[in-house]
Amino acid sequence: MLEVRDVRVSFGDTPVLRGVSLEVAQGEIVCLLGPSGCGKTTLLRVIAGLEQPQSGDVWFDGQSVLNVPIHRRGFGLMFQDFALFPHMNVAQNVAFGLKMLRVPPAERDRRVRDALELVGLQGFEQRDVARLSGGERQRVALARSLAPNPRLLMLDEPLGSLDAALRERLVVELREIIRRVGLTAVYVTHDQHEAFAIADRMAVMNAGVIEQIGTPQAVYTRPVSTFVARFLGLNNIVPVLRQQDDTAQTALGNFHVSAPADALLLHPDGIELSDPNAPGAIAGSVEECVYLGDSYRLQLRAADGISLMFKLPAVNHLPHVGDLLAVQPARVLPLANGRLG
Amino acid sequence: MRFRFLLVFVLFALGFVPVLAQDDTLTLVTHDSFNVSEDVLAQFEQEAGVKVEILRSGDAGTMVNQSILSRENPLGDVMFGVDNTFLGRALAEDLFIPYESPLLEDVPDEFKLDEQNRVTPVDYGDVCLNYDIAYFEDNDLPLPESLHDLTKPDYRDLLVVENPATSSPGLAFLLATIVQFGTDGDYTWLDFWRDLVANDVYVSDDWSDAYFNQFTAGGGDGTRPLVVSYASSPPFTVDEDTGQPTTASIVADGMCFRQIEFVGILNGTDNLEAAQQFVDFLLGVPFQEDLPLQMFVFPVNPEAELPQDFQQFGAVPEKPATMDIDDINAHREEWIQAWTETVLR
Amino acid sequence: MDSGVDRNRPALGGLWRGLLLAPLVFLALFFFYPLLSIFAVSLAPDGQLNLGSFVEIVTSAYYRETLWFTLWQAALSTLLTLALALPGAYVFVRYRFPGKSLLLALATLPFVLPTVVVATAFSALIGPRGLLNTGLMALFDLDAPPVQLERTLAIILIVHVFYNYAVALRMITSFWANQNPRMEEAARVLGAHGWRLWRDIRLPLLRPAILAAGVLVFIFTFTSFGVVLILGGPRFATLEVEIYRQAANLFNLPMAASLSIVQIGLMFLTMTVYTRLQRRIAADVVSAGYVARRPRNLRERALVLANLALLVVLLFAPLLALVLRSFMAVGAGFTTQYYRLLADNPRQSVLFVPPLQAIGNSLTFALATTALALVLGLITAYLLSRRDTGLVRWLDPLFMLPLATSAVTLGFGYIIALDEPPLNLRASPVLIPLAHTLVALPFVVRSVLPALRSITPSIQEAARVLGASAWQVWRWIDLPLISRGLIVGAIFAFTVSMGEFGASLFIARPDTPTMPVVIFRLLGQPGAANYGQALAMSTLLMAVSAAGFVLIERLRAFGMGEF
Repeated sequence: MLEVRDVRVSFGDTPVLRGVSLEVAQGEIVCLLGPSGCGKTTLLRVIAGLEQPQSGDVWFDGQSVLNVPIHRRGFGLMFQDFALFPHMNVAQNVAFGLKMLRVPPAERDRRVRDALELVGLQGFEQRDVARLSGGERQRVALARSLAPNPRLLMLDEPLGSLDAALRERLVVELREIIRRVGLTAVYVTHDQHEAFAIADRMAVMNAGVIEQIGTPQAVYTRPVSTFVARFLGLNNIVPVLRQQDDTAQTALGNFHVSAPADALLLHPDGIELSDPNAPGAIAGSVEECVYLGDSYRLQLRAADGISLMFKLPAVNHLPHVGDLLAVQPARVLPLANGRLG
Repeated sequence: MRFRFLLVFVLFALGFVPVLAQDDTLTLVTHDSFNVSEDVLAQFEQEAGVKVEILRSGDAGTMVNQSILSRENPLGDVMFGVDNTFLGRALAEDLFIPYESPLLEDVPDEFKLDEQNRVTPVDYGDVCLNYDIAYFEDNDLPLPESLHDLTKPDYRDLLVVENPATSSPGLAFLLATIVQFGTDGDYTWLDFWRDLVANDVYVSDDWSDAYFNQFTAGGGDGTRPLVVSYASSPPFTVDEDTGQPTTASIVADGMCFRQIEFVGILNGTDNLEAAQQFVDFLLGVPFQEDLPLQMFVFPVNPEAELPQDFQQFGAVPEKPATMDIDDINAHREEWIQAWTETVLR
Repeated sequence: MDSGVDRNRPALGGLWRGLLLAPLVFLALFFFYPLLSIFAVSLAPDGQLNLGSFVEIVTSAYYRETLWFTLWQAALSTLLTLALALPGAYVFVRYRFPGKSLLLALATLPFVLPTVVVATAFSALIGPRGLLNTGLMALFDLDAPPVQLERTLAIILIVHVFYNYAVALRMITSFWANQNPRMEEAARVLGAHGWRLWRDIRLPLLRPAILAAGVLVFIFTFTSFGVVLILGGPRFATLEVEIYRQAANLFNLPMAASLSIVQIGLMFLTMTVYTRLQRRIAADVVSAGYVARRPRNLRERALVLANLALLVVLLFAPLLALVLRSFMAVGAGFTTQYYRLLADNPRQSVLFVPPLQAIGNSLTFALATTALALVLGLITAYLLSRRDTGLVRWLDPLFMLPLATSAVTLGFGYIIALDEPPLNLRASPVLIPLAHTLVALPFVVRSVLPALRSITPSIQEAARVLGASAWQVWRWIDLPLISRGLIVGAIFAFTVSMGEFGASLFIARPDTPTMPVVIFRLLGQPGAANYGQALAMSTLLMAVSAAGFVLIERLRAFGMGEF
């Protein structure tokens, strides 16, 4: 369906995309996740045609679209600031793409109505866009992108400007709508929760490259690089001092790993309290303990000042700051410092 | 819809076409004081087969300056009204095509100031003081006998003159004072003007304001009984009841300055033949006889007969002040500037 | 990703890029080239460096006095204006009364009125043939007009106040209304009252606004031309008038050019001061603001009434007098003959064309000016709205420069510069719309620019992605968004062109005069008919300007424009 092949873009001397490849299948929602400045928006703009890559290619439906002008690509793009046309009302905004396609007025009206209904804005046709709430504006922008039946929908931080509570609600809605229409979508965000909620697959980007791509579950449970791990909030990272075959030496002892690693991730999901004398147990003092309702979040200071964070079920006895504890990591994953292969 | 709005603008802008003179019209560039009887002009138009359009462009000085500035695309075909005070500049700037009218023969030599006949004299007039006879009689005031008398307390608040920078009689009067008092010595012309200012002289920007608005006998609500005008002005103030003029001019020696007005064919005319005919027309008897009553001046053609009132009340000074046109041309601006500094500031 | 945004606004074709150069070329040809010619004529009149005129300006008492007069009449006008506008601003900030916003809007009307019209209006009110004098003469059976203000400094100052009162009033009012009232309240609690409150608190707090308004009024009155020329008579000359006099009457081009340079220099300095002060005003605004209330006691009511009376008398009496007088026959009956005379062109007339044709000329010139200024102004605004070039910061004041240059200087520059092929336009009527366009251009740019800057790149990109071609983006997104600014700019251009006097007086040919030039010529002629025609024509011109002004105010109510 959509195929991005080794795309490179630089602004002046600054490389922004350093060889990015990506495939998106029909009906799939792919999330581009990364911190600001990682190149995710630029990648989106290259796909939309708003940016010309210095090299690489973009294919859609079996042919290159690189030389197809923006307005002929038949893609939809939703902007972070929604970019609603201030001089048009809701219906006129939604109808704009249809008008450009020279859809006859009667059909246009029908499709505008359908699109507004899809996003739950029936009856908003004549409203002035300046008088809409943030959530309503977002829906208008979505309806406007959907109305011309784009072959591909791109969303650039579509919830970025909304508050957290609204975001949480809308992201589910958004997924539902995209699913219902059966659209292929590329979704850009810097918020992992948003990505988890909406993506079939997500690509974590850093400094102009995709570091890891896979289902949200796969990426979360098995991050492949220190960047991906940290970006997902997995901070129990221990540098590897020396590695011999399957054994990696660290400040917290030796661990068995299946691949060469620059660092090890002690995945917090598998950490449990253990007997301090058990083999592989890691001892440390409690640095912080926060009650979260169903669990505690514990921060343990282990050897060499390495900090480990994990959760304990709330049924356990609440440790105090300063207590000495030992834990046993269940899953130790090898991490690379940069992009893997 | 907004498009149409813009479009209309553009069309209007394109539709703008400069006014072009047609072949069968002759445009006469002249000063604001030019006048001619309609029937006299109509007769010429009929004979020459052209229509005359009259383009008045301010006083004689402004007219000459404007013509110099628009030399590349002349304002008209003929210029009438350049006088000896501005002739030097007009000749230096090559405004005219020489033309020797057959009628020039009869004109006395004293009026012919250009040997190449680039300009042809048409009329002359003497710029003199005019006074309101009734005022002087009622107040038992003697007439000033010399320019210097004007600085006496008797004539305080009585005189109105024209600004020489914007008016040709004003310039002529200025020249008369220079001829009279000279540019150096114990009492120069500037000293005289300083005394005039001390005596509350009033300065108008042009002759019509001075005569019609400031002069007591000019028909307006003026308050000053002495005005710089022409020796030929009084015939125009003849009272219908008494048959006598209400004003008279003072023509004592040296108190007047002789102005000669010329006509020239403008360089760049595309109607040379008609232009030459027009010059002949201006020298011809009908126009020359029409001149005095229309423009307060005397014809140069000796065959022209003066109107009755003119013969009776129009005075010609015996010894008007005169000055070489080259002298005038060399110092005109310097004098006007000095006058402005002394009188106006 | 901002760095990437502008590079990829709808791709600029070569043609479009060439178009961006058009305003620069225009400015170079019709502003800088004439200006440079003035430099050349003044510094090297005969091809060799000769600073004679400058030496004369410095050494001659005459020019020093002209400069001195220009300065002090401007200073005095400014002080008078401020002295009247300050209490007015106080009343407008503190008190609520019926018709307040309408009055404040109307007060700006004089600003768009041509000087010729204003001069005629004042002559119709307090001139020797004006309503006041004819009224008094009839009432007391007088022989001579009792009020003799023509050709005095007083009338120059009065008209300057008339022109600038509203400018100062609006500037001070808007600054004051936005000031934090707590400061004054604190001072009152601390015991300040009466004149000490003014001296120690109010005036110091208002200083930036008073200074900015003062400098602006100073600029306007320093370059005063029509008012001084028509109402002041030969005894008064500002630099601007002297430039005209030297060039048109005395033909002393080097001196006129040197004076122009002195004026440009002084104006540029003052403009710099002004833009600095204006930036300070913008920075000082606090959102709290005063709340206006109804005047409570007799004293407050009297204060409000006195200021409103001043406003009404100062602003509307002359305009009313103009209209009335234009319908008054010599014997004081009603007549429309002056208007009917406008269609005639007897051969005795000082005008080459019937006055009616001057109206046609003015309209044609104004339409041409509007079209040209719109196209160039639009392109300029696009040029200035590009965020990616450091060039813009440098270009912005460049396009404002024509505002700081006097119209007479401009007209004079045209006369001496545009006299050689291929730009031999000196004797062509095309010069007039060109000069007017230069004067109108900053107004168009300032009207369009804020709208253009409000169009974010993402709006255009959204339209592109939704299937709009570059042209369609402009047609459906840019154009509708800037249309109101464009219309405001168009009206400005039109009004400016209709009323422009200084440059037109220089470059208008007698066969294609404009309305202000014709009014000026008619005013200089004797006779009731000429004067009446001048009044009638001024009334028409005022109607055009006022209509334009009302349109601008209505459109500006929607928040358009930077003025």
